[in-house]
Amino acid sequence: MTRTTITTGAHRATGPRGALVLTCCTVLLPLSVLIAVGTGSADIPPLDVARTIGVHLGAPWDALPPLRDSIVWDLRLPRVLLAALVGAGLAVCGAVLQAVTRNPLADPYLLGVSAGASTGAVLVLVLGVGSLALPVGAFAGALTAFGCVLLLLGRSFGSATRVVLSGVVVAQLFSALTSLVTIRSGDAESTRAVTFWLLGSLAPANWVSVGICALTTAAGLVVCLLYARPLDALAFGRETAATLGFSPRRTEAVLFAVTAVVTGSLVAASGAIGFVGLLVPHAVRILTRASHRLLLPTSALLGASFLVWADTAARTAFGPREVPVGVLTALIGVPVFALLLRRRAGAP
Amino acid sequence: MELAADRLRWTANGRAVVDGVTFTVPQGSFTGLIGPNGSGKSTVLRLLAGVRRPSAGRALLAGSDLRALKRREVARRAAFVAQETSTDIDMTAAQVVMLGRAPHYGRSATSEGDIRAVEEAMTTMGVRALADRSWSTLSGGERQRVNIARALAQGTPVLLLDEPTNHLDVSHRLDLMERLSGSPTTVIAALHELDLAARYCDHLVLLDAGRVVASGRPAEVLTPPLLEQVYRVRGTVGEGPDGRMDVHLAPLTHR
Repeated sequence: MTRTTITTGAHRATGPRGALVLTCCTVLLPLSVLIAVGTGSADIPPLDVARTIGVHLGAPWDALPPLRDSIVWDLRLPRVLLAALVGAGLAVCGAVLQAVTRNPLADPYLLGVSAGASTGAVLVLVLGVGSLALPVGAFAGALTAFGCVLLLLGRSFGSATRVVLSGVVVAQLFSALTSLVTIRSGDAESTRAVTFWLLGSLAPANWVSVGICALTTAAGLVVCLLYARPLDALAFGRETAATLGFSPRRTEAVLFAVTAVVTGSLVAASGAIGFVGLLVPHAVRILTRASHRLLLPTSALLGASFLVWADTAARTAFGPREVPVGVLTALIGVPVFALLLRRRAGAP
Repeated sequence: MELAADRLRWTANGRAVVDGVTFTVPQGSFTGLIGPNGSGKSTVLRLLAGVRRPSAGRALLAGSDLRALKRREVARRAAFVAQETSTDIDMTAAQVVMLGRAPHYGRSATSEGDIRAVEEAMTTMGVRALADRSWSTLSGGERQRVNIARALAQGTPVLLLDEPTNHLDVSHRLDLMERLSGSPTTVIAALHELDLAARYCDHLVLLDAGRVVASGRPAEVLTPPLLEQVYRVRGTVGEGPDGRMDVHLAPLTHR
């Protein structure tokens, strides 16, 4: 009996329960994508969606009529895929930063990245360089903010509290800069842009942004997975990690840089969508109690499905008006999370 | 495996917390590191564990300077239990103990040997029943035992423990001290309870203000003049009913 208790105690990267959750999330994601693409003012059955995707990937099937084909391939699929990528990336970054700082309140924006992105975006708008440069400006802003956090942290990084405080201070600084620029320019467009960056939206999705985010998210996930074991140790404490053979500083440096680049690219494409990076890792921890080797891919898959559904609700539930997706992630995420927490409190 | 401090020095903000500390922890011995609050016990342990780099001097593990060894090599030879380990990330007790196997992992998944080492360590510390409990729901003493089990699972010839008896109840405290003094592992532990140190340690190192005041067998270190000088207490040393050394302490003002 005790033997089974320990072996199912999830210290193995893939306990039976963890494996089950991972399998469910793996099945859930493609289904969610097919259904979400089919949902909207023109309803398209999931099978037709699958057929269209197949045709574009070179399968010898009959294509849908051009209009419906275009709705699937040009309009909805990029948006749904971007939602999946952003959800996956934010969930992984959230899980990593929570472990590194041993702080359950950490989210992907901990290192000031979203505040920096808003400043960058607003500057681009005010300077009138053109809307194509918007993601570039946002990404540059995100990395600048991250650079400021690193400067504040100094060479040794120090305690988790110091990391959190540096992130908060830098975020405040960049929010102030954003407000300043917006007020100075005084035009309605930059004010709207600020709102966009603050709440997030997947509406501007296109195949280019999907490609870039796919690249950064996939690369980020791979690097984080390589650090799964040091992450397990770091989650328990810096000193313990050091005596278990891992370099806390190196692990932190790599993971901070990776999460900043991934989050920066995601925010540049979609603005700062809240709650996904905070809630999804917790939900997965509660569901699987797994180590990071399993926790990270499961978080990615669940985060992807979650944001796909949140965005589908955002563009259809209150039609024809679109609600900012950040509002929906909170509206859906908070009750689900409350349920999980209650269950968790009842468990031994 | 032998452990040694060679003229160790560690400074923080220009103040020497550890100032020229030299001593040897003989192979297989149970050495107690004693001294008042702020005397530098924890820092010495961290320097010996390789968590901190000395400002000067060397920490020697089996004769080689820690700085010349890779982290993983050190982790396979010496395990360290810090005084306080706090995390708000949800982990089960079994996951925490499993961390001790990290220095032994290959590229592949957890081996049968790892599972066995974890089970053995949890049995030794009497925490098997806690395996699936979340770290956040454990009491202070349970956490301490799980954390020591984590160090035991590491399977190292050297153990460094910072106040391992902290939070433990009397029976677990005595049980742990019995085990440490009976095991073939080389152990160095920072201890506050001088009576326990006197009864179970082979060897004591007494620190005060970052320097070694005395070291040697308990009877040589725990003398009334030294106790008065370092701790400002009146100590009476004798032999307990079981033939082991016994220390009785009272305030200096008490007559």
